[in-house]
Amino acid sequence: MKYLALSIWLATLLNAEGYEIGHGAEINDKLHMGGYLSAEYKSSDIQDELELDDVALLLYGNLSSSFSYLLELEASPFYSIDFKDDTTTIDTKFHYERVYVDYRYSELLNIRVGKQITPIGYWNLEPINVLRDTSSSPLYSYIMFPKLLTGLDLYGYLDDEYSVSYHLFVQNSKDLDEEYTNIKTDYFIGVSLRYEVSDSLQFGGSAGRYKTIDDPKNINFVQINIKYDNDPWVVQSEVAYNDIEYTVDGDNDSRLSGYIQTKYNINNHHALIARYEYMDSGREDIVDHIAVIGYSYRPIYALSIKTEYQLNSDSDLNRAIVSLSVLF
Amino acid sequence: MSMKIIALLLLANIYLMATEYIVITSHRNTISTLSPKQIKDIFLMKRHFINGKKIIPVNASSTQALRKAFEESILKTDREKLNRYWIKKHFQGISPPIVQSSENSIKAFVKNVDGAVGYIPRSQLDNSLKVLYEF
Repeated sequence: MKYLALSIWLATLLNAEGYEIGHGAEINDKLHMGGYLSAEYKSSDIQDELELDDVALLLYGNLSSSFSYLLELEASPFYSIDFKDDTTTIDTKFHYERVYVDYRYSELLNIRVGKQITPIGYWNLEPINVLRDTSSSPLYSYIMFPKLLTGLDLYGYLDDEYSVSYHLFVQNSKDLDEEYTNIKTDYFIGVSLRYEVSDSLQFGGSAGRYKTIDDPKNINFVQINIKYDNDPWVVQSEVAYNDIEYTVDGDNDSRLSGYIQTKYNINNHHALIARYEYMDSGREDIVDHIAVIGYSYRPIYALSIKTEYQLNSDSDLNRAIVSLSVLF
Repeated sequence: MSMKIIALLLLANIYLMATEYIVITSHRNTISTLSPKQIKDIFLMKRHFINGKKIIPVNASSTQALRKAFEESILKTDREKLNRYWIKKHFQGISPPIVQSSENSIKAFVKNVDGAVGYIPRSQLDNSLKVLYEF
């Protein structure tokens, strides 16, 4: 039944008037349809796996001149084959990735309510394979703060030139779809700032606190980010620090993680990517260094074919990844 | 002397070429001028207000020379980069500005829709429209 619904969705989308790949289909001002999917093959000494990783549906539109909405449903991993164990897994359950309503009040104050992407840094804001430069995401993006927020975000610009933007966000309940988030939390508060120095240079930072539900901890975090984007080069870096209080034993800990990534656009279709990642997990006494070399080919921007090789300080984790992803 | 005249004519020609197009709104709109950065932010759907007033941008269709001139002079980018920009915005749930297929329909939209801002050739200007910027 779900396959039939998905097929109908895709057929409706692709046959809609004015449909353009990567831009979705605007049925009317209140309804814009889209979606994306990605497939990945991962190979290492301990892994040999093919996944239809993301299958997602996107709906958004304007409810009035001030209100808009977005709904994103995603199944991940939708279908996977583990060649080492010779097993196949199918999970067609669609989760709420994003469900929110936006209210545009003024330059200074806009309000977003619902489940949304946590407005921190760069990587977290473009988390899907087709928009990324590499198939994999840096460790930093999984472990330092909840990627998704179910709550309230107040945001806007602080100056007339629209150079300084802010987000003030809070969550004071469980996630709308707890199965589908990297860190389960029922309390998350933070602020982030971004300064666009020019079209090619921007930097910013975030700070906040969250409480984890599993293995209860209170975690304070600070994060900084910088991006230089001047064709053909794009260089970006993000670093975050966690100050951890274990609520059961009262112990304290800390964690530091970050990455720096450089992309060289050979032309509009081909790019080379190099990334270095670092993670120092205090109490667990794990220090990870990861180097990633990648190549990206986009016959059109909304269709991405990528390959990469990861060198890990634990050589068992060295791996190759090839992916194909598309945004409808 | 003749060299001075030629130089003056060249300068005048450059000025006329530089102000071939105009950014417009209706006289009902209280804003009187926009900077290139403000126009760029409005048409990239980053900015929805000017001095507290809600703004609705209207684009020329992508095949019009007018649109190409606007993208080169104001947005200062090419189609490929704009395409990438709007694909990223699609994921964020943000659509590009409304498109009108002719200069007359842009003028009609700007006259009739409160807060609308568009662009047309200078030759199309009439008394019902206010010039916010020339390019």
